[in-house]
Amino acid sequence: MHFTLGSDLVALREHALKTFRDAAPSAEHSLYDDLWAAAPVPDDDSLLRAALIAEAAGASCGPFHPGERIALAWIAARHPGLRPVLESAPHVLAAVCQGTDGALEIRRGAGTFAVDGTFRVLAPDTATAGHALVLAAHRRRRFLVSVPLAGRGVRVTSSRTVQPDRRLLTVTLDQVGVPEHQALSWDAERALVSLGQVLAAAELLGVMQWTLDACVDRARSREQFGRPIGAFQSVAHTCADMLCAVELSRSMVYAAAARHDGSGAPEAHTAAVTRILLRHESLPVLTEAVQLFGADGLRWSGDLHRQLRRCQVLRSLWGTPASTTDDVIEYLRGQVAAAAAE
Amino acid sequence: MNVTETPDQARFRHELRTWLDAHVRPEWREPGFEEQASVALRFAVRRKWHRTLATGGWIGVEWPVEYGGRGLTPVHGLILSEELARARALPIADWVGVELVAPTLLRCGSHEQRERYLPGIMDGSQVWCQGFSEPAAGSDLAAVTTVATRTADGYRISGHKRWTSWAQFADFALVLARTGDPAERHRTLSCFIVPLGSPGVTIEPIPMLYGDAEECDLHLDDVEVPADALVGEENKGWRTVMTSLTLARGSATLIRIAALKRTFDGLTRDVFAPGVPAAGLPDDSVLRSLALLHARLEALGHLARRKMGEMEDDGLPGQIASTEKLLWARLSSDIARFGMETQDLDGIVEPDPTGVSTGWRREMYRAMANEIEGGTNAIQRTTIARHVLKLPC
Ligand SMILES: Cc1cc2nc3c(=O)[nH]c(=O)nc-3n(C[C@H](O)[C@H](O)[C@H](O)COP(=O)(O)OP(=O)(O)OC[C@H]3O[C@@H](n4cnc5c(N)ncnc54)[C@H](O)[C@@H]3O)c2cc1C
Repeated sequence: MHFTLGSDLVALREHALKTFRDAAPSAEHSLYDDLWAAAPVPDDDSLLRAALIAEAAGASCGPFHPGERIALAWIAARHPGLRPVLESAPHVLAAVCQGTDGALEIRRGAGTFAVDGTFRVLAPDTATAGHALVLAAHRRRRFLVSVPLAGRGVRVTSSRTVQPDRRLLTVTLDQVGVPEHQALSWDAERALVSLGQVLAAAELLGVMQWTLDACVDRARSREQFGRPIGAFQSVAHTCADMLCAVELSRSMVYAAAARHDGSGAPEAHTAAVTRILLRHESLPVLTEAVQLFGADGLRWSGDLHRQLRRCQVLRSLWGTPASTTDDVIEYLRGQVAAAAAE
Repeated sequence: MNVTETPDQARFRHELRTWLDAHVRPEWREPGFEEQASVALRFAVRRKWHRTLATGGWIGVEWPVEYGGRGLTPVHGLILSEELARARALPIADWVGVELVAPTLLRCGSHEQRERYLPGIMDGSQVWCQGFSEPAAGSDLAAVTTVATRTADGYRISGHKRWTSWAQFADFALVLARTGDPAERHRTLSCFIVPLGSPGVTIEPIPMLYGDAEECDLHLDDVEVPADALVGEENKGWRTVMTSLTLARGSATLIRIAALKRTFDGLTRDVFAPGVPAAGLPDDSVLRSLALLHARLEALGHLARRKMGEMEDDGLPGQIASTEKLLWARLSSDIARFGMETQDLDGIVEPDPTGVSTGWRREMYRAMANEIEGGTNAIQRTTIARHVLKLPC
């Protein structure tokens, strides 16, 4: 057992940070595409590498939620049959908004499936005409289905979100036909959501680290009353509390990502715990940072509000807070029952 | 980063678990077992357990073989604390000696001091305390006024130490005293080993809010100690104290995180026990808070593991360790306060006529102490800001 990152992983995080800062799309692609190139094996660090890339995205003010792309690549790696479908059109993942809740209804026709129901999904502006991968159910069987976001039987209402490059689409499908090869029997919904939870948490960790660094710089350089504001104890203590939040969060994220189920997905309870922790620890760091920056923290032109927005969005993804809490409470209840049985 | 145990680590864990299964007494697992006892009885039981552990070779596993240890790594120390927690073993009597004084002597003491004192610490025959704080020197330890003056064959020490934990049961104290001009602050402080049976030593337990007292006033009136009682060099005592305080942030914290886990288990037992609270299942906000406390506790455990990783890399606790005390102290307070909130009028019953608090109220009082001992929350935050974040405060 060893609980700190090895030099290769530190180098990976640095490389990802630089790639995101340089904003070179082709280099970004190679970061995600290589991740699951070899099938994960138990005890490898594939999930940790994915988490470090997600962290770097948050820490560099870089692309929003690479975790979704990493999760799509993970699906494609598990189901090579779905790869041509995913490559034929840009896809967004409904699980990002739905978690494991709200499966659509799917029925089999002659050579096709028909899909009904409503779901929500986050989509970049340009991809509104793309496809979504949604979870659908027929009796007890679950399917992962690629559905179009435009066309016959598809109704979409679109709202702006606080994340400038993402819209929240509410999509209603009414008997939308889907060819059979676009629907796959799927039993890994929980693993997918756990993966998404840990990757979103890792990105939040990056956002928190970025914010702490910005605050420490500001506390050293901004002067009032003839001194750097970091000389005032309340400012210094605020930064100390931020470091505590960052290190606590980092410990949880790395622990959750250090072990996977053999497919690359984290253990479900640990992922739920990670999500709860990051949801709680992240936002106060951002709001305190605005106070520390004074009115400059409220400027539209600054990066701080972009990170604040990113934080708000990431906190809300991969299942409702209530369902995540339920998972953890179920676990605790089980522990009490097990101890009583002993 | 690798969370899989090596064969050697797995063997160590297995051997320890088997040993603990055979030696941990079932009654220790009863909730509240320790809090029923007076401080003297608690100490006696813990001391017996210390001796039993020593017989099994489980004290000082990280100390060098030369001094009776097993020369193992911090990760073995981590496994030890995890298994002690899992077995619900009691704390040992001389935590201060084993976790703080012995490792401090290994770094700052002489070979003779180590040879002389480490065996007694290991087997539990001699118990230690640390006399740093004074009535007028708490957070500001460099303001210590206890004075050590040179004599023909050693030093004469006079002063008043306060909050010295477990002093009434201890055989020795590590004492911080002034050996030069007070205006020189930490540059004229020295550390001494003071046998508490010496003439001139008086010890008075200080009754505390929780009813009984582990903390003491330690009066030193012209106490004579030999020259070899000095630890390290004269006027270099600050280094010794800082070593001890740094060590207090190392492996020493694992046991208290384990204890907090045990407290939290008690909380989940209370919340999910049939009929509690009387109205049936706890409401959503209670469950949300409980899930969050669980998340913070899990994360704190992982933070401690990362710290142990840093210690394996660098020998001493680093940046992560500086956050741990504050996070632990706050979490222990929040867990205890949550426990209080699960109680109604039952929460104000004080069954013990001597005022010894039990249950969640005791936990809450103890947690308030956690936020003070070893450096208050404010001091921890200043230390982090100044030394880790390099802010000009
Ligand atoms: C249970 C317990 C066990 C203990 N055991 C031992 C022991 O075994 N040996 C030993 O030597 N000591 C021991 N102590 C003492 C402990 O180390 C001190 O209590 C602690 O360092 C604080 O000192 P103080 O109580 O004098 O508070 P003070 O230093 O008087 O502080 C009072 C308040 O002022 C604040 N404050 C002080 N200075 C600053 C500053 N610069 N900036 C901001 N705020 C400040 C503090 O945060 C606190 O809120 C123990 C204490 C407790 C509670």
